[in-house]
Amino acid sequence: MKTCKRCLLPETAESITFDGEGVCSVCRQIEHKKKKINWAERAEQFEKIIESFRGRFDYDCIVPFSGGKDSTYTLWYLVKIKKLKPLVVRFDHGFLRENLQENSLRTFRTLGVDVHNFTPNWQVVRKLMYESLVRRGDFCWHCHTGIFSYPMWVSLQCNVPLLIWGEPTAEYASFYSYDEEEEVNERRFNAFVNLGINAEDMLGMLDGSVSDYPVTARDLKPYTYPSSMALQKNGTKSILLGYYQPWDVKQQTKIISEELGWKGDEVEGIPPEYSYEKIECFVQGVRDYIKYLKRGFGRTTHLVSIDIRNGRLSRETAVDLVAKFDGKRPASLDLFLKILGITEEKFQEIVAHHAVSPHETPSCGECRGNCAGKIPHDFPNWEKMVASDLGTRAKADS
Amino acid sequence: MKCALVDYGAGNVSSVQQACWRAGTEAVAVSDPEKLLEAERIIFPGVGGAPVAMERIRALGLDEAIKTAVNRKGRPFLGICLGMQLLGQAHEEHGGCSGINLLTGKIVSLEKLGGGFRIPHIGWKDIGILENKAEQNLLLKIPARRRTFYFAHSFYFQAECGDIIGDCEIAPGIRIPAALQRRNILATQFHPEKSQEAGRLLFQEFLKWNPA
Amino acid sequence: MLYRGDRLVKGVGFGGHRDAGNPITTTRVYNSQGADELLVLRIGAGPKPDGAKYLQQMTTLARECSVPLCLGGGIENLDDAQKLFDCGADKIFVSRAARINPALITQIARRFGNQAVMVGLEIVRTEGRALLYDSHATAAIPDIDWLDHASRVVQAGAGELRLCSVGHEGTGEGLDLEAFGALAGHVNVPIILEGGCKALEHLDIALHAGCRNIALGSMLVFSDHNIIKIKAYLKNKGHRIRF
Repeated sequence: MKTCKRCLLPETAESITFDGEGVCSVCRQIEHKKKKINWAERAEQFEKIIESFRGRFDYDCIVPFSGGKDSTYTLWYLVKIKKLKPLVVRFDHGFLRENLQENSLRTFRTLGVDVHNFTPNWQVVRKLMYESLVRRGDFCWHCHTGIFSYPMWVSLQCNVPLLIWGEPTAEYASFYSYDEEEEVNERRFNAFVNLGINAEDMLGMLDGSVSDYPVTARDLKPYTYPSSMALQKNGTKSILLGYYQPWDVKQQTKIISEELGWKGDEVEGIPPEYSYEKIECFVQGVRDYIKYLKRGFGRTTHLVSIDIRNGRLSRETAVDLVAKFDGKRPASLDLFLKILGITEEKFQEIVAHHAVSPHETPSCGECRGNCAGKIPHDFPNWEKMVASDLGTRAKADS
Repeated sequence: MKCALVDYGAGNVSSVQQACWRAGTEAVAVSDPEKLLEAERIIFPGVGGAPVAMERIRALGLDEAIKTAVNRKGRPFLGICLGMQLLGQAHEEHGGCSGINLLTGKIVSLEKLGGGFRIPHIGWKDIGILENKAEQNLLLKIPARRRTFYFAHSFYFQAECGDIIGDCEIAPGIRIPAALQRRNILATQFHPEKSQEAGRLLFQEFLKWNPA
Repeated sequence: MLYRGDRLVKGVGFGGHRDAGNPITTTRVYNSQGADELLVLRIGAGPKPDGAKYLQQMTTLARECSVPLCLGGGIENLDDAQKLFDCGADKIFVSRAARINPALITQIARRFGNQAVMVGLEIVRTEGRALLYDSHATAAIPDIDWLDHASRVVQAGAGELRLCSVGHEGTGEGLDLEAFGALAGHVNVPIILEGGCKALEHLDIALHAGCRNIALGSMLVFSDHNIIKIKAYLKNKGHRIRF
């Protein structure tokens, strides 16, 4: 398997290409970011955009918010530095962790913002998780599509045309590069966010699996991207803060820790020094584990590669960390299997079908022999959340 | 009217209309020569057989209107595929016909170039940029890595060298004109309305183009 | 993309079809992911292509597509073809009509140009021998030489040929490069190869074998492979690909 000569991303990473020197496109994008961009000019462009919207509507902008470091920094920056009045829109994917909720409460109350929370139908979510796992080997379809579609509906319904998102994908993938403007629009949604499946497709694909909840088009509205005609008519502008200022996760995490008491958390499958990453979701471990089974690399590879590109880590240390942390079977997998009502063998079979060559998925036995040693501190909370669906609990007990 | 699309019943007008919409402009399909002269700029799409197309264009009086708009009124003009070829002096398809004669050159069969490639010439090709007397070679406004467009044709324009702003490789060692530019005329052998991002950028540039 | 009823479907060996999504939103996806061309074929028994709902859907679908679009399936006369061009098709596809009424190819090519006519060759292998396949009768056609037939349709005005190996379709066993080689040596029009592509290597091997156009179906529907990933892979393998 070919790997970047600089960072540790392998050829199975979705969008990357290697140049003549064997360096990956993401490493080159970061080079470009550091040397070739006139950030002062982009900051001016950003100023112009926000001034053209300020004060004209009930809110100056919508800030889609997960509570992770990126959206927390984005919100802090827009309120504290740019003095905007945002409407915070939060899509609850069903797996929010306690520490994250506490962080978010502190952020909202300290900054002073209106918050619009949306929690979708859990029975629908379960069915969507299963179908997208089967079709794409990725159970997060509801989350990807909900997070990017739902705020667009709020934008239309509340008449707040400006949406400001956080980090650019050019930081860690090559769907977009730093020299082109990445707008958070329908094209981006269809290029990779929705895994190639829209709600209109999903409607015909769902069957009686997992839950007998009768899903109709109405149930899938939160995951449906509004029509481009409607958005254009509304004057929608959906931009990334990370296009207008250089994204620096270390610096940003420091700011939100100091200003908002934001705290990191223990996340399955990554070294403890990355406690600022991916703290939002209690099945993050399963998500990263699936990536490992399909592509042969996990979240640690991804994170150490970011550090290598920013001169914060040597390749040797990175390789050691990956060997130590990537690919361990997470404790949360048991809860995940319960939610979908499937066995680990079935799960493995589904995921193996999606292996990206040249990687081949290890066997179930091999995986069971490679379990993560630790169970995260809030695991009992996760169990409680899973058990709150009485249907799941009954199935598990029988 | 900001932009008119010449509608003579043999062009893919709706595709081009969609492409203009994506590039931010509402373009209007026009088959009346008087109306055509009102437009600030004109796009001339074209698909299908040349003689039949020319017959229709002449019957509607559109050839004269196009000449007036281009030569006397100096309107920015974009000809696409057959719409580029019909701007020439003569076309040899199906027994042959004469063209609108706004650009120098004849349109001949690709077979004349010998072998080593399949005909029709169909597919995506990178465009090479040529030195050209025309100011503001519009193709240069498109980033080099995006300069790939879709071709689907069996004839090619034996254009005057000075008019060629871009070419493409049809077989190893054999290149054909891909785009022409002379004063206020831009003409492409490829289909920008079927070339996704590259096409959208080209339409964007054309729709704000103010040739001297 | 196979269209049936008002949904897309995908199957194995021209049977066992499963839901593959909404035609319009799926087109939107492929367009956003950088597909080079789209082919939407209407299959299954039912009203002819002039069914109003079908045409309406195709018109909406065409608007989502900023790459070449080929529509077909069930075209029997010039009027059927005209209706699809009116919907916004750049090319039309005929297969059965090419066997029964080759003059139709000439008619369409005359009106719309050779490059607007794609003719389908569906083949099966019986005892190693390649034969044309009739999807309506679901049987091989033993008394026509498929390569002769290919030459005839090109003579009649076909601008492109789509070669689909029925036995390979949906199986994931790889493309039928033997058939491709035979056809490529026999005609001088562009050829699109389809059927059996599942793994990334299949594409790499096909491009090395001289194939310039590959049509993907199941690979994009029932797996995590997407056009972006596939093109990145091919680029990494040294192929010149629009990416």
